[in-house]
Amino acid sequence: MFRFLLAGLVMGSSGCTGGRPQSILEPAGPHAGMIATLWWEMFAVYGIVFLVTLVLVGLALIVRRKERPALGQRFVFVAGIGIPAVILIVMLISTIRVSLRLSEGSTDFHVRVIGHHWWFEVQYPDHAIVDANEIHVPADSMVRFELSSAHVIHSFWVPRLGGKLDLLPDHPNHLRLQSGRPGVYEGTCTEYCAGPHALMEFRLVVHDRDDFERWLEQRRQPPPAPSDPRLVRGRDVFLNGGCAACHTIKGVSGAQIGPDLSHVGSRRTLGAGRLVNTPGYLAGWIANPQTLKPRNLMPRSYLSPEDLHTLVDYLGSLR
Amino acid sequence: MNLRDEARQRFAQTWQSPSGVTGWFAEVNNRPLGIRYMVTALSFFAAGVVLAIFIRTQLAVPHNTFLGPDAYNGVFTMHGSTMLYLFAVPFVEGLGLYLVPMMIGSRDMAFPRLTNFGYWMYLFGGLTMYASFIAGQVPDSGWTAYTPLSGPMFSGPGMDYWLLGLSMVEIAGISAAVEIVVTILKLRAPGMSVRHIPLLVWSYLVAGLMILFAFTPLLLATLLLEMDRAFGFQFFNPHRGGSSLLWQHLFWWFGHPEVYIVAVPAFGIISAIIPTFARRPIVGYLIVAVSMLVIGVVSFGLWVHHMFSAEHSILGMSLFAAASMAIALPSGMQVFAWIGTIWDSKRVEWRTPMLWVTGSIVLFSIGGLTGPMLAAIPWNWQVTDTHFVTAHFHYLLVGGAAFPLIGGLYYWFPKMTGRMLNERLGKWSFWLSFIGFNIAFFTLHYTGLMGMPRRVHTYLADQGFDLPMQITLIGALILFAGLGATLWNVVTSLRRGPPAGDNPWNAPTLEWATSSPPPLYNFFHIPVVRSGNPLWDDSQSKDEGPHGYQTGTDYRETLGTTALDAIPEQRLALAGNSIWPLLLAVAVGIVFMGSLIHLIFVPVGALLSFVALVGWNWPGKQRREGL
Repeated sequence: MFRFLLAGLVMGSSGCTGGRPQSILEPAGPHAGMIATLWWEMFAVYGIVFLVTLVLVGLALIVRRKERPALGQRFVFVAGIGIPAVILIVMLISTIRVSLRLSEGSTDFHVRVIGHHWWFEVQYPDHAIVDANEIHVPADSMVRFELSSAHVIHSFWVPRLGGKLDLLPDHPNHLRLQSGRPGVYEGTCTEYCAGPHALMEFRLVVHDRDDFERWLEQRRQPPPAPSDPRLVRGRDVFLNGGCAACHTIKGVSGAQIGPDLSHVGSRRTLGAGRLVNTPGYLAGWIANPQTLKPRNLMPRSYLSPEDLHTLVDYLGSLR
Repeated sequence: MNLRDEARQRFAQTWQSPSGVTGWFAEVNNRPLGIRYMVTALSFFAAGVVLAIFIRTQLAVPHNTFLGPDAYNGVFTMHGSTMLYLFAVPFVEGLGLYLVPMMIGSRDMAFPRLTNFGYWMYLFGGLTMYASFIAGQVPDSGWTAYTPLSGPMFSGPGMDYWLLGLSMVEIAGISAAVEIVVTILKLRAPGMSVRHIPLLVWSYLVAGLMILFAFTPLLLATLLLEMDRAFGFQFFNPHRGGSSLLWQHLFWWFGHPEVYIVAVPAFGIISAIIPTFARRPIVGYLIVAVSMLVIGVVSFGLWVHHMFSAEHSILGMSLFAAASMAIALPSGMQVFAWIGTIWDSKRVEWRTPMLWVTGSIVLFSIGGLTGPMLAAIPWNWQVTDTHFVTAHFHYLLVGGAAFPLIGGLYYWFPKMTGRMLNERLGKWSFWLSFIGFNIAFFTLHYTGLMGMPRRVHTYLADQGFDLPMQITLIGALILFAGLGATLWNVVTSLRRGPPAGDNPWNAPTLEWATSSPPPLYNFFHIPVVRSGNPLWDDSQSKDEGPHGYQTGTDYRETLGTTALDAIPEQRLALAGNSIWPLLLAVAVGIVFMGSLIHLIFVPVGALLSFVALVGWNWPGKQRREGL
């Protein structure tokens, strides 16, 4: 009851979920749900301990000595060790139980995520698909994220689905997350990685089963070669304007320094969660990414306006 | 003049501070050096507070352009580094160097020239770190400097300033710790058996031992990382057989005890202040002393809880989670001992130190309760690296450590300067700080729950962080005003504060038996102690008659006693003023700071260090004053 009141206060204080897309207290999957329940238990138990302590301090200071019995060392033992030990043992058992439940069950979908300086490379090893900054998984499945990093330590976290795990350059780490209901969830890097660490995010898109099969089918094909002369022109700008030196588009270029752009037209965000993917933002990003995400590794471009617009059209067509 | 007065005059002369500029550099007595440590630490604290204001300003609105990512990253790195390495531990050390000899009835620390050497290493280390601002290469890998980010490939020369400066600060810490431990074990007044040692002194013994076991591995780690950066070693490079996690283990082995090194003396201060104002000895002396020892040992078994998101092996992590929860028990016991003491007192005097200390208990309880929450591994997986953690450790470091330190400042300022601080200003300062702190940092719990990561130079506008960040800024400004009020109080009271007298608080421990400020030798006669609260017990004689031990008049000396029962066993010669510690510090400084310019300075500095060590240890100078 108290838990619902408090949850209501938290949610009511700034509108619906749309205002707080990374809230831990609005779980969208069973793992995050179990952890949120654990939180409310701890909040209640430790909250009561704090209030009792506060009351004791207050009473000690305010009420005069003559009107109450002395406490002595027995009080210190009971209040300082006895009761807290019992509380902590109960909480420890609760913790270990949740930890074990979060690690049980076999996984049925495999995604590989590699951390780069300020973007996430995404691979689907079972389907030979490579993408960036956006991960698609089927609903209600236990996903195994194989996490590693190219250079420094990053972290991988989708708050509304579960806990985080670091991306290490040493060896792959494995994170198990139950994907839950269909929807789009925000994820972020949380291990400080210098530069625009604050602007390194990704999206996790959970599809229902049929939708996911369709998405897989579409992604298995390389993007079709453009026939519209404007789009052909845009592809030439991509090849000759310097973009192909860093970015892969299947069937067009193969460089692996920056994110794969084969299907960038259907990506929800640009710059690893920095901007919503619209033609205007895309043009601004290509013109000068440094003003939007200072210190990221993509330099500004010097394309003529005509070239820039045809490039934006071409990239938008890659769905 | 009779023989006795002549002896007193020669004795006072032996214990005089040296004069002149060279004299200032050669000072070895713990009192002026303790003050020097504290003043330097407070200066660094002020710098750290300014950096904090920069952080809060940058985060006040989304996409703010007050600080770009590199500047912000440097600012938060230096904020954390300053507060933890250059303020918290050095201030605690300085207070210990000042108070411990007085509280145990000794004349000085065991190795006075080592005190001097340690101070210069601390100063040089701090200045080296800050020289990075002048060089335009501010270190930006966080105060934790995780590899590979802090390695040669991903960070600039700023990290070299950081590592070399930090190495010198660690050497200072280790030398102060050695001294504190030896002094407490061997230089106590006769009769001060382990049952009569003041709790503040117990806390320093524990902290000193912890420093020896915690700082040394950090010194090793910083040197290994510097070897990676300067000499091409690969300790932390996973692509060449090293390990990036190795740094985290080495660092947190130090990093977790580090926060208890700061907190345990702060608890000692609370245990010193509450009995005085509750007008009764502490309830559960043995419990509190044992709790501190338990914290000292158990705190070395917690470090992996900083790495719960690095690996997911449940069994291993559960052991550290259990230990992390268990350490709440000795901390909690001390809180209840304090509550018990206040409860069982007849009358509580509400002076400023008591206010700061009571506020600290409240704040420390909040921080101490989010601790076991963070120890719950699945919850940790959600909130680690978010502002929830930032809120947690600020409650403990500001509420549980800085507040008692400020309370201690108000408590011992009269002893150190002979003047009282202003009560009204002190109370204003407390309430502004307490309210401002809670507004600023309680809000950060909420932001963490909303998923805001930490160490971010900005944030997107539609994630619900905007209003909390503004509230936090307002809280920080109120806290800033509160701290400023104490600074103003100190500056004005130094000249115009009312005179304090020997024992303005009517406190029980030995330091209050000296004059305010005390002479360099503390006590003319080393007292014989018969209880844990000597100034409150009638069996303890208080006047200046021949009720104690006199030591040499022509050379500096104190009494050495046995470790457990404090039975006098030897006369310990103490070093007089000497310039050699400074010379050695400069030579060691050349090794570290010079290596930033050219590697030739490493062997040059090493040679000079050897010469300085020889000069320092040249026999025959100990029984004479001289430079």
